[in-house]
Amino acid sequence: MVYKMNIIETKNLCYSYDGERNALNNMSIAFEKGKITSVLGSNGAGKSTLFLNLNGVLTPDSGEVFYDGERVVYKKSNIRELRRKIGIVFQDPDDQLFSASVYQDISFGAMNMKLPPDEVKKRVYEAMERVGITDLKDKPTHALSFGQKKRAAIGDILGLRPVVIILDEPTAGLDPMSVSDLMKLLEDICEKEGRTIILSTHDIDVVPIYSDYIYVINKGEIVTHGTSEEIFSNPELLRENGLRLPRIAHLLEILNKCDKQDVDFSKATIGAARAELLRLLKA
Amino acid sequence: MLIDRLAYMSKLKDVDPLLKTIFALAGIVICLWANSFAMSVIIAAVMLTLIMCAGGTKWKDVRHLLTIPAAFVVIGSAAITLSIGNSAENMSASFHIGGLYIGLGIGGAETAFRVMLKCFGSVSCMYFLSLTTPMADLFGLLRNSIIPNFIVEIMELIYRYIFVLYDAANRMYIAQDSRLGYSTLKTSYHSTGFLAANLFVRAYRQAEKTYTAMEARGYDGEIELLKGEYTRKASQYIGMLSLVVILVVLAVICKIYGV
Repeated sequence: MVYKMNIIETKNLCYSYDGERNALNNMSIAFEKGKITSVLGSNGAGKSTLFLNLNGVLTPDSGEVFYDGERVVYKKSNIRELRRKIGIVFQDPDDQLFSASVYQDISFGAMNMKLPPDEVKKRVYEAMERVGITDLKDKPTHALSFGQKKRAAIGDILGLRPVVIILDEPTAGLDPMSVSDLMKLLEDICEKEGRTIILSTHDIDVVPIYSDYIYVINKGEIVTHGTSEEIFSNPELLRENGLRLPRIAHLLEILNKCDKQDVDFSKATIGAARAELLRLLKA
Repeated sequence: MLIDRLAYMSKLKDVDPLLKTIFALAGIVICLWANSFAMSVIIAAVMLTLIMCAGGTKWKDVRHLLTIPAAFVVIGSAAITLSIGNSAENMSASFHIGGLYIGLGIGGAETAFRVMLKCFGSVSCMYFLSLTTPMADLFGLLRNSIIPNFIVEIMELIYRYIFVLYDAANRMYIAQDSRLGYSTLKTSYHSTGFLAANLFVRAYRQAEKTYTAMEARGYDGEIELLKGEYTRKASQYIGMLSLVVILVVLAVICKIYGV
């Protein structure tokens, strides 16, 4: 019996590119409906492979994937439906944007769903509005900046109106303002539209601010999982797996370990750390 | 790419691409059929006026673009003025090498001039199309034509990824150059070879990644996209079609009077 609050769940998922080394090794992972879940891991940990297994682009060697409590059957019609419900925003927007015009590119996913052109058009405009690129509608794709391409790539996926949006390293290569704009947009999409967001990132400072739940993976296996406080209360484990604490939590950790101050270093956001420091100052 | 940028900036961008294509093709056909000095000049003038006055493209850019075919046209036409034969007959001036006469043919200059003007007339028609119509619109047009869809799809993908690969090549070139990869002729050959080989690998990987991304969005073997939106004004259709009629009438007059 699979827990219905999870929109996607895997059981003992294995996948290998070359038939020898497992890129995913017996991975059992669950993503809760309507939440933002982050998947952390160093380069080559298996994040992208996991994502491609979730929407059926890659077929697992063994193990099972459940979507909304139902086991995914790898038949063509099923997979098409699965891909409509689970949209992936790829790391490099140039991989995704293949058409000469932004407007047409955003229509691609919705057109593949064989919707009537008027409906597609409505969705395209809605998606462009949502990611704030309506004024770039007629621009050729290659004339866009990296940040604009990224937005267009997200618009691409919103056109599918997916239940789950998976983003592979969405903040990579963006300037700081764009990162916070993007994360606000994702938070908004999650809260207002009730879509589930799954993202992988290296941007560890952003993780505690937006994540409802976190998985840390390495070499195709889950190392640990939990809420932000649970994850960041064990910095050694993160470091062993090529990751680190957010800067602010690191400061608190130093205060705790080197200066023997009574602070809780799992407070990883500015707000939480501020409250912790104020408490310390008052004591 | 200059042409690409100018096409997107043109004020005629939103005119129905089918109308523009028919207009440009009609221009070429009339120009070639009339085969007249006056007509070639008139057509070139009409097309360039439309590009600059209606489309708002600057003369500076148009002039720059016209110099590109100019080189071919001038060299090609120059060759026509020359003729080779066994005697100096039909030549206005010639010299004699080992039994052959090489010289300027009588009437050769006139033919060359005629060809040159015809070329410029036709090139202006093509420029009218390419400076007012973005590639995306032309692809849309081709999709609705008799050309098989997969060929148009390949064209579109090639067009898009030329820019991606061009960027990659550019970055690799800069990275090589900053490590003195182009300091001598020998290292230049070496670096160019590596660049080409790397670019091939890059292109292959890019194709794989793009395919994955397309598959993830439900690609099932056929690229279907929403058609572009154009401003369809009756005045545009009437204007361009009457222009074609006027050109045909002028061409007939030119033919009758032989100018």
